[in-house]
Amino acid sequence: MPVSLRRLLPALALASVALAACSSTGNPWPGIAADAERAYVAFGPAVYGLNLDTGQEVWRYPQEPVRNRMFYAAPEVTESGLVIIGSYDKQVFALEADTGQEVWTFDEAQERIVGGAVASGETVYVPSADGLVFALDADSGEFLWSFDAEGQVWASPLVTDDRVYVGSLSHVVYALDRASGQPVWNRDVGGAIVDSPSLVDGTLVVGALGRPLTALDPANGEPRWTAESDRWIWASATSTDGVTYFGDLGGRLAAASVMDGALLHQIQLESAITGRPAVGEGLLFVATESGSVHALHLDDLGSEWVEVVPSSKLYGPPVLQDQTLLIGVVGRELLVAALDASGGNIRWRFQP
Amino acid sequence: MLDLLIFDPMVNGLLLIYDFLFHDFALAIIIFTIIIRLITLPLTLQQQRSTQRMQELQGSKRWQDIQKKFKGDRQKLQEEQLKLYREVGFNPLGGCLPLLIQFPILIGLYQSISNALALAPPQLLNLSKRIYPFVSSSLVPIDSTFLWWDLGQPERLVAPQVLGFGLPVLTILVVVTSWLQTKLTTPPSADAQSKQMSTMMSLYLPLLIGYFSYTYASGLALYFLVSNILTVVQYAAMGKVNWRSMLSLRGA
Repeated sequence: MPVSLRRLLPALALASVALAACSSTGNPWPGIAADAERAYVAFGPAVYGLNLDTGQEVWRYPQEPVRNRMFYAAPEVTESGLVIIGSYDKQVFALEADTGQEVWTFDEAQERIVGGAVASGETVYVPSADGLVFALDADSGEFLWSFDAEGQVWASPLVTDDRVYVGSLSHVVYALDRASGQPVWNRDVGGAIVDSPSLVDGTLVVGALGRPLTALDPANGEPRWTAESDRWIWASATSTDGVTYFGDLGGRLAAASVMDGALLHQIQLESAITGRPAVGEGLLFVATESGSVHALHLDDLGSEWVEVVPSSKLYGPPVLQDQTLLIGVVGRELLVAALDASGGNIRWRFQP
Repeated sequence: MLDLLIFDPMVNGLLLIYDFLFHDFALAIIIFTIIIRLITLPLTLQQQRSTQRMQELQGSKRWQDIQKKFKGDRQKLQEEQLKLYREVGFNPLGGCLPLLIQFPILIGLYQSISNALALAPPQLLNLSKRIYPFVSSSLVPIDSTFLWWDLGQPERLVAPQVLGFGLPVLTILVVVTSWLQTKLTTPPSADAQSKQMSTMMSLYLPLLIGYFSYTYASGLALYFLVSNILTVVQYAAMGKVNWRSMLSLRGA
C-alpha cells in the first residue's frame, strides 16, 4: 500500500467514525407496564416479562434479536392476559403475559409505532407514526377501523366509554366515536402533542410543546382554561381529586385546579420532567432527567422522600403497581429500577 | 460548550430560516448551507492560499534538490523539508487547520438537521430543550417532505415499474459533484507524492461522502450537494478552477 494511502485511510476512517458517533442525538428510554405478577419492559430488540417481586426475567420476546425490530412503546396488558406492544418496524404484537409466546401480529401500519397501545374492553387502540390510529380486536388482532389523524401520532390514545381522544404531532386533538372511529370534533392547540390527554371531572387536559397546559370540553373541544408553564411541557398531566399536576422541561412541577386552571402550588425540581407523574398511596411520584425520583404530598407538593438512581437519566413516566414504583432508566448499568413506593428504597434492579 | 456555541445557534438558525422560507425545509437547508459557507469563507480562503503556497514550494528547485538528495533517508528528508518550511516562513499545518475547524461545523450542521427533523422522541426532546424562547413552537415538527424525498430518511427513488428497486438519485448526484469538485479544484502538482494523494482524494473522498449520503438522512446529502456546487462556483469566480484536469482520470 502506498505511504500516502496509509495516511489517508485512517483519516477518512476517523472522519466516518466521528460523523457516525455524532449521528446519535439522544437515547431512547424503555416503555414499562405492570400487572399484579409481572413488570413488562420494552427496550431495543426485546420485550421482557419480569417477576414483579424480584425483578427476575421470566421471559423475553423475541428470543433472538430480529433485524430492524425495536421496541420502545409502553406495553399494554389486556383483561384477557395479553401484552400488546408496537414496534419500530411497523408491527403490533400480542404476547401471552405468562409466557411471552406470540399470539397474533398486525402489520398494516405504514410507519413506526412510537406510542403505547391502549386496551379497553375487547378492543385495543394503537397509534402509529403514519398518522393512523388502529382499532383492533384485542384477542385476535382483527382490524376493526382506523382513523387518519393527518400527522404523526406518538401519544397513546385516551379511551372513555364512548370516545377515543387522540393527540397528534401536528398540534391537533381529535375526539373519535369509539365504536366507529368517526371524528366527532378536533381542536388545534398550537403545539405538538407527544403525550396522551387526561380526563378528570369532565375536563380534558392536554399538554403540548411550547403551549400552556390546555383544558378542553370533552364534548365539543371548546377551550376552558389554560395554565402557564415556564418552559415547554413534554409530558401530559396527571389529575386526581380536582387537581391536575404537570411538569415542564425546566423542572418546574405545578398543581392547578381542574375547575379553572388556577395555580395551587408549584415547586422547582433539579431538572427536566418528561414523564407524566404517577399518583398512588396518597403521594405524587415524579422522575427527573438527572436521575431523581420524588415522592410528594398531593396537598402541598411537600417532599415525602427522594431517591437518586445513580448514573442514570430518567425520561419515562414512573409506573406504580402494588407498592412498587417502576422506573425506566437510561444508563449503562441498569434498565429498570424498582423502588418501594412508601420509602423510596430500591427493591431490585434489572439489566438484560 | 459545543452545544452552546455551535449546535444551539445552528439549530435555531435553521428553524428561523425554515420559518422565513414558507416552511420548506429543503430550501432552508440550501440557504443555511450558503450562510455557513459565507461564514467559513475566510477559513476556506486561508486554506486555498496555503495549498497554493505549498504547490509553489514543491515546484521550487530547492525542494526538488532535497527530494533527490535524501531520497533514501526518510528522516533526513523530513528534517530538510521542515528546515525549508522554517526558512521561507511556511506553516505546513496552515492548510489543515481550517479543515479541522470546519469539521465541528459539519457535525453541528448534521446535528442541526437531525434535531430539527426530530424523527423520534429522543431527538424531539433534544430539540425542545435547545429551542430559544423567541423561536415559535408552532414550527415543530418540521415538514420534512420535498419532491419524493423525506429529508429525515436516506433517499431512494422508488420506480417499481422501471427498476424494481430504489435508486439513490441524491447519492449519485453527491458522488458525481464531489468528484467534479475534487478534480476541478485540485491544482496541478509537480511533486509525485502530492500527485498520488490528489489521485486518491479524487477517488476516495467522493466515495466516502457518497456513503454518508446513502446511509444517513437525505437532508445531509442535500447539504453535501449544495456545498459541492458552491465550492466549484466559488473557485470558478476566483479563476482557480482547473478545467484541464477534468480531461484526465488520473490525479492532477
